[in-house]
Amino acid sequence: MSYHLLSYFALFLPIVMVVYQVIPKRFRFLVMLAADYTMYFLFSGFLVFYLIGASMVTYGMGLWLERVERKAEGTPKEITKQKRKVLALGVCLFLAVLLVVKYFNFFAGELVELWNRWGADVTFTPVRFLIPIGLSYYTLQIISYLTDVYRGKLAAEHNPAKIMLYLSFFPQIMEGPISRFSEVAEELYAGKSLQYMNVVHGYQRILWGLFKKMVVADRVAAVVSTTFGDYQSYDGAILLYGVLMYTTQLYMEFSGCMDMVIGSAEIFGIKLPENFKQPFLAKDASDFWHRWHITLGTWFKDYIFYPVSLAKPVKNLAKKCKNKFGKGVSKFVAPTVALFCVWSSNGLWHGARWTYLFYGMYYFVIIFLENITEEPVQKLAARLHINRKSRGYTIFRVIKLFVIVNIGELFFRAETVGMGFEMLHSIVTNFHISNLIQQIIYLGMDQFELIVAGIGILAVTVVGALKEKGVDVREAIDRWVLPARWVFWYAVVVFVVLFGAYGAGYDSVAMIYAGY
Amino acid sequence: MKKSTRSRCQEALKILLFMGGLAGILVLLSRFLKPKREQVYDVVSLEKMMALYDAETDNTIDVVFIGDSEAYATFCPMVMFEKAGFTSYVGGVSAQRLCDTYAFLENVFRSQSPKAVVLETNNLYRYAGAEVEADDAYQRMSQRVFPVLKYHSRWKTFCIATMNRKNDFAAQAQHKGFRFRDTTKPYTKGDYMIPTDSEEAFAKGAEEYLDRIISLCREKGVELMLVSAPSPVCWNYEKHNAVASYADRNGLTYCDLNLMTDQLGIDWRKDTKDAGNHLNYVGAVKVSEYLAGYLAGEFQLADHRSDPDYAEWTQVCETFFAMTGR
Repeated sequence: MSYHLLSYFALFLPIVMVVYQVIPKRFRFLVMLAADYTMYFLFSGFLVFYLIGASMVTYGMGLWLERVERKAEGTPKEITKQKRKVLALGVCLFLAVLLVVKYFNFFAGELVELWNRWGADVTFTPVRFLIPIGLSYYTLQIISYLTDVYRGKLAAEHNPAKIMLYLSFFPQIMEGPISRFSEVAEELYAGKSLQYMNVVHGYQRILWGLFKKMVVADRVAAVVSTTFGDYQSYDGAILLYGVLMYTTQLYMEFSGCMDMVIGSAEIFGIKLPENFKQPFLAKDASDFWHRWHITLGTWFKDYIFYPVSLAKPVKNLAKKCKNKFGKGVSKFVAPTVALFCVWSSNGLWHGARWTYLFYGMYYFVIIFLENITEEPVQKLAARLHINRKSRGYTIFRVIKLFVIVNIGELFFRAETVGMGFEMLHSIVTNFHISNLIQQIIYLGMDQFELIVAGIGILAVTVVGALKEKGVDVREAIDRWVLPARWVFWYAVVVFVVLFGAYGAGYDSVAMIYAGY
Repeated sequence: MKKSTRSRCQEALKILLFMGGLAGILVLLSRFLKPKREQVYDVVSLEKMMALYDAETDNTIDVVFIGDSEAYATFCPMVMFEKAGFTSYVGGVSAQRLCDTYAFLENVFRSQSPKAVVLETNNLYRYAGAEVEADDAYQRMSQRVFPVLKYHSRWKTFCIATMNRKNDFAAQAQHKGFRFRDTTKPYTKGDYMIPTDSEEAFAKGAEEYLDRIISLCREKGVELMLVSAPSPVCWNYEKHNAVASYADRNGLTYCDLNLMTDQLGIDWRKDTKDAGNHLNYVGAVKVSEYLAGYLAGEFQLADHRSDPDYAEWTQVCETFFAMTGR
């Protein structure tokens, strides 16, 4: 089962809604839990017991942290030290599981290869790990909960059901968003009755997600697999077309999935954090990451960037740099070290591949350059009388960012870093637009499909641009008279049914971010 | 309280009415999009392929090649016409299933009387039925209630029908179903036809459809031959054994080109488009030149090269070879 399948939104979800509504309020959390674990079982089978075990350990660690605080004797510093030990144990435990199942084969394989290059003759047989779905997502949620309890931002939860609900909520278990305990736990447990407008709005949001995924993302997927799968056969213009389609696919897929997830939660009156905010209208790479996969970015900011930049060794390093190179250099030291940790983690979080690590380092370099050039660029613009808020400059920034993002996605999708460079080289040095024009309808989308995908991309762009200007299209439609509203939503359903890329002739496209 | 209940009833009624309206729309769309023939998988590709084929002049095709991408990458009708003078056509799309192959063949016999039908055997190792395997029971039930969910892509067929068919299909029709691909990605993994006595069973449903294809050909008095295209990725000795014993049981001629790659002069460093999955044009020419002689002799096919009724074929070949630079 997956969120874009009929069996999810037209069977599983309605069943959960009906059972949830007819059960007395105080037992509704049990219905939710049953739905969570049923869904998880359908995805991952008996690995559901790992999730249950992880929830129990998280619950216990939270209580332990609280107990250390309550019963500890000594100075506040000593108490913090004891709590830190408990936190470190909890974080290391969950990180160890994540690191072993996701990265062991990769790093062991690379080490063996390196060793063999030095003359050894070792064979490495990869270990087949069973990876519970959503592990990368809920491990981060566990760490955020434990850290927040440690920091005193949260009281340890005494009701294990709330922890279980928080870590297993069925709409978000596969691809996030990575929520915080304080944002959702109470709402998940409250068992609020279903409200007509919540149900309507929830399903409208699911429909919008289906539109993005099935009409656009799954349709352009054929172009992506054609061009990336046989990149040596195509010239630069065709490869650029493939890269643009991959960026489109990734955005439509992931943001579409988020629409389905947030819509599903909205049905039950639960507000999950947004993960996208018109990322392609960002003014620079840093801003882009405040608008793309927002919850991962804020997680890294709160649990890696700040702790690293405030860590004693980093502060000492900054102090040494200040003495040696002056304030101008030293002010970048702590943020740069933290930034490096954030982006190497971001790259690795996506999976055990050099391309992902390269992707992380690519953004580290871009954002580092943006940080150190911001002041000089500001001064230069003032000297040249360039208005950085003018429309022309904004368009320049959007285009610049678009190029940066697409280069990043090229490496993200490439099988190897070398392949990424080869493709980039071909795009720059072997670009013949005539080849693309001649072959475009043979690369996975014929002329009709190109029109459908174009309409889909245009619709999403217009809705995004209006949202950026503060116009919520859904709310605007709500104000229409009922017949007009119904005709509009019928039209959207029919569009998705007719023009969605599913069924015979289309390869089923799995949720990309569910694999991370 | 009363008002609340009333308003809840109104809301429930609104949802029911909306869903009822939606069901009505889906039923109407289903009526419009449901094809006459239901036991097919990729209805859009099949209809497009049939439309292309129907553009051929009636009763002018001597040999019909059927199968999946192995068929359209291997058999080049232009090379065969140039070499032996008989006409042929390839009816195959990517990942074509036998249910669609069967439907295509039924359509062939409506307008053509070929002397022979050649089935490329990779088709036997692909699920042969009309269903999408990934679909769950609920999805399949929904498709039965609202066939538009299965046949939704037929909007493309209507778009194609409204366009100038000659222009749209020009390039593909001129190649007689063959796909010209001249790129190379070498196959380097060595010998793949390792002799063995074991057999690899056909995919689910394939034997049933193959039996039906045999019956259809016999009913029409047409010879059916099985041919395995050279492909280290798709073929092996186990599959060869299974097809050979089926052909033996059913009195069919079977030619496994994978056992003749040396004789054909196939160079896996140069003659494959995608590391041994499909032949490229150079490889297809080698196979087609061999098959031209073989099929002409085996089925006593007439030579139309100097027949004025087949002047169009001479023109097609000239254009094709001018493009390929052969």
